[in-house]
Amino acid sequence: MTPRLAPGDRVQVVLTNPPGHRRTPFYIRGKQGVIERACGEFANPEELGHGFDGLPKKQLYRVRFRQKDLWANYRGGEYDTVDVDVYEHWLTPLPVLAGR
Amino acid sequence: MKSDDLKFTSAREPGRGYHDIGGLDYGTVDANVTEARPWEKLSVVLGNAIGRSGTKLICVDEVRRSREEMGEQLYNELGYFERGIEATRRLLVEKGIIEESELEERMAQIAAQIAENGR
Repeated sequence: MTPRLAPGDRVQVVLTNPPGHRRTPFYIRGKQGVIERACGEFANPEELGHGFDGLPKKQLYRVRFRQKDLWANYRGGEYDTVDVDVYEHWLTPLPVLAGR
Repeated sequence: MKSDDLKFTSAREPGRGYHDIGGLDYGTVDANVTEARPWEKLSVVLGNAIGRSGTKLICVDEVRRSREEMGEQLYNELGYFERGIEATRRLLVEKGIIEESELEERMAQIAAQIAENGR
């Protein structure tokens, strides 16, 4: 299946804290980032963790976040980033910014 | 590890799992790398042997989920490899692959054997 999101697309991580086995770290939930690359499709660990087969596979992306967007009072560089692998169902596409 | 060192537990937000500590203040990280002990290596071998690359009785995602369900107090009392083997034990019992009593019997046997032979 073709990835629904492409490198450069802006996304927001879904802001939710559901029970169960989740692979999206708390510190990026609700935060905005940019798709760095599509990493391929993998059996869904959220289902595998509870004894299911994890199918259909889910698209995984590497998402790039600005450090200053993640941490209160971040004192490092303005353009410092962190990359986190996030599954597609945890990502909401954001509108393209005008002028880009 | 002393529980006093676990500063981040009191700083956890509602809805955040006790295992999900990325970005919380942990204090100074001990950078001294130590060789894994023999039982720690064996615990990884066991996990691989019954995991997806082995007999497929369990998978790594289930073991992770089991770590997240053992409770915060126990989780923080145990070291990394201890958590892994405890999570695996709970999972094997949950899935009906072994029984708690079976495991206790076998552990008592081994303890008796060590007491007698020294190994």
